[in-house]
Amino acid sequence: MNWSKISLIIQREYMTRVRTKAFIITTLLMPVFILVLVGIPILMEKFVSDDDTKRMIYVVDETQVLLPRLVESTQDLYMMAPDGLSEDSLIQLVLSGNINGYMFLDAEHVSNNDKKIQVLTDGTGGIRFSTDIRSDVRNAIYEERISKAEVSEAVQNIIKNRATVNVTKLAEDGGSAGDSTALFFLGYALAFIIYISLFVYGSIVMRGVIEEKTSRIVEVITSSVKPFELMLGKVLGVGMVGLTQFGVWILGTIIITAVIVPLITGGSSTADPQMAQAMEVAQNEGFGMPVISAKVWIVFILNFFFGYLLYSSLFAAVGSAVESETDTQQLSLPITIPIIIAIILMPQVTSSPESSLAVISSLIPFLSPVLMTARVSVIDVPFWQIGLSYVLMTVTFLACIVLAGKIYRVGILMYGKKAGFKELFKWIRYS
Amino acid sequence: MSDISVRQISKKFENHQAVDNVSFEAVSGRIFGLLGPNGAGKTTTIRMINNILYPDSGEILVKGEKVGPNTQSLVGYMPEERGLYKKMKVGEQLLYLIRLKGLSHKDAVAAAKYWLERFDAYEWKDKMISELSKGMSQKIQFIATIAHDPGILIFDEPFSGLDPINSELLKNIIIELKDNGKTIFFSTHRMEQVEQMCDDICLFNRGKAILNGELRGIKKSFGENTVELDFHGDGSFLDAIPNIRINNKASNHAEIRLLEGTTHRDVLEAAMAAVDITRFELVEPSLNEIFISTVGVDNLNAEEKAALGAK
Repeated sequence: MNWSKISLIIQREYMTRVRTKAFIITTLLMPVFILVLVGIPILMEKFVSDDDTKRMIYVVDETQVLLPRLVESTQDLYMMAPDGLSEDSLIQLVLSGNINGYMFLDAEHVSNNDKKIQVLTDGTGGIRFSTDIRSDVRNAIYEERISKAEVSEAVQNIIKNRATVNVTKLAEDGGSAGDSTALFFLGYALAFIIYISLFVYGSIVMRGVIEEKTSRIVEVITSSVKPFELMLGKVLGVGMVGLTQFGVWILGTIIITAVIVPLITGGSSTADPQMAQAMEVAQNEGFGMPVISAKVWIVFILNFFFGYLLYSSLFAAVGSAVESETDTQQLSLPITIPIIIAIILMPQVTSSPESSLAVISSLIPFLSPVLMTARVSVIDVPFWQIGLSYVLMTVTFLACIVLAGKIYRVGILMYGKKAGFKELFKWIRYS
Repeated sequence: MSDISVRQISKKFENHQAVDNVSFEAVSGRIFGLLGPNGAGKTTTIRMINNILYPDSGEILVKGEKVGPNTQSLVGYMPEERGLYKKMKVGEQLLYLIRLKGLSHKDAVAAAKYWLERFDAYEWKDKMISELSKGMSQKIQFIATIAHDPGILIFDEPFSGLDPINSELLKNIIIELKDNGKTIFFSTHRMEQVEQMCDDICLFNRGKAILNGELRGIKKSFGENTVELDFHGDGSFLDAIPNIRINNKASNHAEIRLLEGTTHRDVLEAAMAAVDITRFELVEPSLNEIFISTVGVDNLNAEEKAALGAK
């Protein structure tokens, strides 16, 4: 192995790719995309909760007890309708825009569950407004029923108060690392990025090989270096491109979560109760940015690199065996199947990351890059499992690149015909 | 001294014996021609000399050293299928290819600059290969082959795809390189180029070296048994002469190989009776003729016959 020549090849592969517009754009746009993905729900929450339009609903309350309960839930919205207004005149008031809606409540609504409550509105405020009204009315009737049920206060309290459960993962320093739902989404997202990257970078290598083969430069190069050195240089060079891209993405995400998100949310969230609430809502809906530990980032980038190494040499072998990109379908199938299996298993593995399915599948070298990333984001995977997965991936990588090197060596000089699996096996056996 | 020694090499692809027990020597400072029809095993042999393919048996020495990564930098190789990175600038590409041959960055820059200027191509250095014309990129390819100043230059079918002007240009450069003490090794399936340029030849057919040695010696050993005839009139009289083989027959020219029993006198008499002779010369056989008589006309397949212009 001539490493000074391999490093020349790595340099070329790296420089010609990171200078392209496509690379610069996708690398820089991804953090912007993450920003949009994270920022928009938060901003939306902010703008939704600041809907302070004054609205009014007339309540004709024959029970005399429901209206106070409604007012308790939302102040300044529910008003007792002036005495003696007929339904027709209420309708007129809604249509003329003086009030936003009205409802009739009588004793039967409390005693009889089958009797429906009609709230008629002018349709302002959208779904959120009607959802709020619905839950207010439900609550009022629910509480009224409980208080009428002649049970002790203790029982009433038990019925009223549901236990609040917050499942939160402990961070290394003992603080909160975000709730499980958010972690699930995080694991899913990171594993998915690896899944996509394996395909993207695998086909970059494959296209690179096809380009060298069809432009016939490969014979010039192999009169200076061994085919294996050329392949290794290409795999490592493109791999560095990937690491650069991931580095920028991770750095960008860290900057966004640490600097930009607090900026859009208006500085410290405690200073702005409305914003704090919005953040909380976002968090509950799974949009919150959990704190991603350094360990997760490290495993994420390592798994990308190991997974890339594992697959890219195989993609290189496929590239060497064909004449054009359109011929690659059949030969690349056996390579894409494991990646797809990984993505199929991912939801199961992410939601129960300690099941034997999850442990075993995340140790299988071809599945590790995706599945181990998913597990590590959700739970603290024991170190021996992570370590073992790297050992297994390294061994498999070495086997793959030797095998791929044999196919590659023959394939790159085979002009004019597309090889099938039969030929590939023959090439492996060539001396 | 032999710069390239090929000793009993064989190479088999699946069921096809591409090279079969071939030996030859390319001597320092001379032009060596590897000839033979398409598919004779020339490119496979050249690739083995360049350590791109490995022989199944036998060995190849370059400057006395067994072929391997170390000998690759002693050789400049231009493959039959020319190729450069299309989306790479001329200057960067040359630097890359020259440095792969083991030159330092500084030396590579100097060499690329020297040769680009020599070929009036320095202003192309920031252009992509895809922006260049075919002739221009051929020049760049040539520079990439010779710029690391190797002692041995190997060209696989260097004239294929060149127009007559560029062919002539390349021929002059090759001869100039030889005058500068380089060893030139090239392959071709066009025999007439060899006659004008080569000092030594090796004739390939179906993986075997069927003739090998100094061009002049080979031709002499075949004797002066070929008639060059220029004439005015109807050339069909030639078909009536027994025991001859007619190569390169044109409307007023024929190259006639005399076979056993027929003398040049017989041909001259037949010609005098039928046409006006403007030239009649007894010469050594052409390489085409040598190839055909060595292989045996009956052993040629249709494609080979067409390629050699044999009738």
